[in-house]
Amino acid sequence: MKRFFRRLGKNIVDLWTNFINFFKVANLNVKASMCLMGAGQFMYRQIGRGILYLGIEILGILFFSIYGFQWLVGLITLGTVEADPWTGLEGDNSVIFMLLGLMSLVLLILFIALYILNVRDVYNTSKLVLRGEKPKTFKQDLKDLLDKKFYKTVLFLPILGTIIFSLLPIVFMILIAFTNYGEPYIPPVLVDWIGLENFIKVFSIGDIGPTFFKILGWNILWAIATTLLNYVLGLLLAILLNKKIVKGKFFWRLFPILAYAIPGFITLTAFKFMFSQGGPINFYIEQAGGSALPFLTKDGTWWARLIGLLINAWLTVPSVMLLATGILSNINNDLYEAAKIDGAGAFRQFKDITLPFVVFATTPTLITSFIGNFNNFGVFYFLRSDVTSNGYFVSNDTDLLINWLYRLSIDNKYYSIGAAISLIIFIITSAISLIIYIKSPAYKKEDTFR
Amino acid sequence: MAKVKLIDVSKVYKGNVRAVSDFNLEIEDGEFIIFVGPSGCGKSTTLRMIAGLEEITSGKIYIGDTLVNNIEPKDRDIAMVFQNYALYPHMSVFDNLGYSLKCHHEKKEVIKEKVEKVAKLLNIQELLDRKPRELSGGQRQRVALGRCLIRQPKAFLFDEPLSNLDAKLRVQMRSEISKLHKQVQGTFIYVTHDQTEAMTMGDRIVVMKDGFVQQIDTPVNLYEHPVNIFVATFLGSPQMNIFKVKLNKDKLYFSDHIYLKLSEKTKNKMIDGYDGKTLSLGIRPSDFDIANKSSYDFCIEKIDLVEKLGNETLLYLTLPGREESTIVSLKLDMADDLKGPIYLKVNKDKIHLFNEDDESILKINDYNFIPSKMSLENDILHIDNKYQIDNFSNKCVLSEIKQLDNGYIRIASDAFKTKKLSKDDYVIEVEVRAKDVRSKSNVYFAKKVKDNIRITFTCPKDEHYELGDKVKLYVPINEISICDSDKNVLMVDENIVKPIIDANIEMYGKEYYLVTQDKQFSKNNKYLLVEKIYDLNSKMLLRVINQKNETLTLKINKNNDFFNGLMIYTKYKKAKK
Amino acid sequence: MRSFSNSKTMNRKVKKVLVAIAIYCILIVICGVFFFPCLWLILSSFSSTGSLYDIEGFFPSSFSFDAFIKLFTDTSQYNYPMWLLNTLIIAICNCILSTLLIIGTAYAISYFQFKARKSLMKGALVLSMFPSFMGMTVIYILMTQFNFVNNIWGLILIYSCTAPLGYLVQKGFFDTIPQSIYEAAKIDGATNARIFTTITLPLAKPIIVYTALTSFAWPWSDFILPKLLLINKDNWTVAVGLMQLQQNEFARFAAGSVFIAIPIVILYFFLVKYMVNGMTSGAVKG
Repeated sequence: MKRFFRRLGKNIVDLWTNFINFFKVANLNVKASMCLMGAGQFMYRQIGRGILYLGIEILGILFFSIYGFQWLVGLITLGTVEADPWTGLEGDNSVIFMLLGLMSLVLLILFIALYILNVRDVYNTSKLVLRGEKPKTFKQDLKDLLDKKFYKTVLFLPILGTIIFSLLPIVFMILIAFTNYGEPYIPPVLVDWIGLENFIKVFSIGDIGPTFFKILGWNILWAIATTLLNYVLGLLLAILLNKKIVKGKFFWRLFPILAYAIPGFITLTAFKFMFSQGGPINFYIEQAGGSALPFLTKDGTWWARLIGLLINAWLTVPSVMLLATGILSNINNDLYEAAKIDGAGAFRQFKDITLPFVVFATTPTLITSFIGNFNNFGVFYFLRSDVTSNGYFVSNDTDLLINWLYRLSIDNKYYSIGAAISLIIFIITSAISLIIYIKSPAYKKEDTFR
Repeated sequence: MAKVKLIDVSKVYKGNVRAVSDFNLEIEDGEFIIFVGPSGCGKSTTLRMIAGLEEITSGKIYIGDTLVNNIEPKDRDIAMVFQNYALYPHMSVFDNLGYSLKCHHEKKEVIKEKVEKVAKLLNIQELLDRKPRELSGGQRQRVALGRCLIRQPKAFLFDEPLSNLDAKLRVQMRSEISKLHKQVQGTFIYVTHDQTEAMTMGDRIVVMKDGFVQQIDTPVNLYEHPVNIFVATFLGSPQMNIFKVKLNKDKLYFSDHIYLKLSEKTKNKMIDGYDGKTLSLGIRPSDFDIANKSSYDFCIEKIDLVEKLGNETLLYLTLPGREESTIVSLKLDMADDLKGPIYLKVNKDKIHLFNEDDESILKINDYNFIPSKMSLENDILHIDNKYQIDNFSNKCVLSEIKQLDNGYIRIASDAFKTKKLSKDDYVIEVEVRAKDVRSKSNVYFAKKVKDNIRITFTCPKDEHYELGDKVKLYVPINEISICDSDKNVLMVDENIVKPIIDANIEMYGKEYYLVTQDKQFSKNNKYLLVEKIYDLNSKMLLRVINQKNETLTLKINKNNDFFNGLMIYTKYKKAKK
Repeated sequence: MRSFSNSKTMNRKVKKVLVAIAIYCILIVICGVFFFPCLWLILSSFSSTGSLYDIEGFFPSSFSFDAFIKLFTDTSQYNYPMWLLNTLIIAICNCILSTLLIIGTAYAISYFQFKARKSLMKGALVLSMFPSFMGMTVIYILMTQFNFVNNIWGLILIYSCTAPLGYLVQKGFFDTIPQSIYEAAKIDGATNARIFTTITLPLAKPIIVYTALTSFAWPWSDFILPKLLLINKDNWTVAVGLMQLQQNEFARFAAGSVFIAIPIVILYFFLVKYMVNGMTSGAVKG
């Protein structure tokens, strides 16, 4: 810890010296670019780059003077004029204000980044010139985009897409978690910043708090149980199918793959029908003289949980099996032969070779499957989304946090509470995966099985 | 075809791991040069730097007349064969061969013609339609060779090309590559860890260890005149036996009673100063022979192991002065029965003696150190009151010398001339005690008349001296370096710019800073660009240029990796009170 | 002595046979468990009475093609052919766009050693830790605010732009291509763009096929996002449409499911090899 701070201190000092020094060393061209983007590039006769940077500066200033600044203010106020349908006054739409504000914030960051890039670019060119080399021409720059810097060309679209469709929504949702957006504060009603109130609501007594803790408890139990069950069953199945005795492996593997391939919503709906009050299973129970069991109805808490567990196993065991099969075939056969010669029996071979190897190789997937199961939306959405339990706030006793989230934000428009819960889920899952990852053998002894 | 020149090339990986240090080499046009050394010695890194696949940390590489430091591999016009062939698995042999021509926008007919020509040369015409995975190892190797030969590159690079082949194919491909070299007359740079390949194929061999070049010479010279134990044991199979021995007069003692008497020739090469010292003695297994009972060097009671190889027989014995078994190679018939005791003698002209501490060979001195008295007056340095160096302060790093009674002068062994060039020349008279005939020059081992100081000098092949000859040697005064009593060099060869600033250079982040308490200095010198580096024994001199194009000299401790063109910023630091 | 050894081998043989029988029994049970629901669905799709309540027990008493015929002819309320067409368009576009973006990302991250590489990888990891709903909810809110729902192009854009985050399996494949092949190509005089098109892409054919097929299959089984974004019946995908069918339309649901499940299942059978490779390479490398 002490070392960390010392290193941090040194880094800050380094940064500061570099910064101060930069002003000292910077030549006229660099200073020109600091005043006007692209000017230094022009002075080095890099016309193409110069025009690009100058254009960016002009566009940026135009944008921020006309819209950007206003939008940024909008992000802070979230609108001041309430709509009035009587007078026909079109008020401010807080959500759009938030979105535009966020966009101009991103553009501002981008603009600053480009400004720094522009200065750094000219600075690097000045260093090149100092060493007696020529500044790069625009043609060379373009050529580099197909050769040395080809990754920039390739990564441009994916990164842009990820920023727009993954990063921005998440940032937006994080922002929403600190507002009162949601019933009844939905545009045209104005939305306001409320700080940590949503989080306090989630953790306090009332409607939401107890539901949260009940669901969280079941969610953790579910994630652990289902991950372990699937993992163990999948591994056993793979080992069984890997046995030398078994002939026609391809044929036997077809059936699990069949289960794996059919789209989840089909099988889940089919299972729901199968276990429904008037479904075939209850039909046979009634025929045998029993009374229909409440599998997925309001009273069937533990029935439903058990069925969910088994159905999820039916769905995911095949993929674990495929994974384990792949890994088993990677184990060097010499290891087994050596073990046999050393006198190890079948069980010993399994315990000392197969298991450590498979556990080592699958730890990363174990983490992802744990997270996946923690956030397993499908199973209980399809099986029991029409049930609401007593003592649960718009939820039922098999819902996971993610299902509750859906009901809160999509079905009932409690957007800000939903956002707060999303954040909490994120913190829980990332903390758990970090811990598992650090404790995992794959992290501890990286080279053992390579 | 072109020359390849490496000047002070170094490679430092992240985390200050030095892979290659100060590599200097000039490869002649059409030469077949081999880099050899154990794994991790930097030979492949050097090759990859020539190819452009690794960045050069410092130094310069020329291919032909162009400096290629900042040139991409594709524009360097070189060809390379990789260890795992690196054939494009999805292309047919034809496309593999023609790919480089395609990249250079050659016409289809030209490609076809050239591919067929190369295929014929390598005898792979029937394979042109196959995919690499349908080929055997040897065939793949041929295709990889063909991919190089199809162009006329400036240099051919080979990165351990034969190590994936089985022993028999390796021998065959070895001779084929040698033949190819004769046919195409190209500059071949070949990396291997196999000393047999190195010895059989190359015109010259570069032996490397831990990133440093150990020796560069022809195979014969490397074998007969290794500069240190590493080179001696690395080349030659079975490897040279190294013994710990003690020199007493003209006898090398293995133990209290067992000794080897030096031949006259060896004795003279060794000259003096080693009497009573512990040395390392190297004897190649083939320099042993069976002796008769009357004149033997060793009498062996017990043989640990006998290996009969057909053309030779290897004996494993235990001799004093060496913990591992000693290997002896004898020309014996398979049928001969060896029953102890056996008597062995050693070819005493062919033994090698090394210093115990740095494992370098005794006889070769690149530099001769001659004790001298020096004094400085009016910027003129007087050596032994006979010779003078003018403008001394422009050359000397430590100008504070007034009087140096127990100093040394350092003269490179190839700096001696046998004819007088000017009246100011340093003169020394020596008596020849032994000589070695080398490929380019003769090396003489001599003793300074009256003084018993060892002098090694080289002279052109056409100048011959016999043992006992007295020779007058002349050295131009500017080729003499002044050393202090610890043999640290105090001056550099050329004029340096004064004043010399004692500098302390630190790294902040990724930038180098000269930290100074002198505000004026830091104001006048915002940044310094390294122009030349002088490596002295204990310190480093950097000749640098500031932003006003003024030249300065910095004297610094040897702890950082400096290179030409490095930018050093200055940083003002208030003095602590 | 001899008989003793004989009886021992006999014992071993018997034991072996018993073990084999046990294993096969277990296998048959397992396969039954996996196959039974599928069989049930298939048979139900051929039931002549549509509702789940009319089928007594698991299996229908009388069979007919009615459900399939109704699926394609009775389009007034449930326009199955339209859904099929929508899904097909989405799947094809997603297949092309996603594959391009994922392969590009994986290649660049695997092959190039640039400064921002590590931070990009970490960023992607953190982003993937957020529950996928978070983004989805926002997209839903925004789409409703801007009245941009009911547009399959929006769906395609979201699918393909979020795809590059799952680049790890593909990166694992690219990591296995030996560096020396790239180096040889560089020395042969090829630019990186040329290396990518003439060497990397042909070598990456298996992983490209895998990526293309999985991204083609995804829109057929994804349900939530299309349900949020496509409100208009005519814009539904098969998954959204089928979910609207109730228990009394069970046969129709089964028929519609079987109809799309069969091609996907066949596709997966071909993909198994690639999938195992992809999964294991992703597993070991993390």
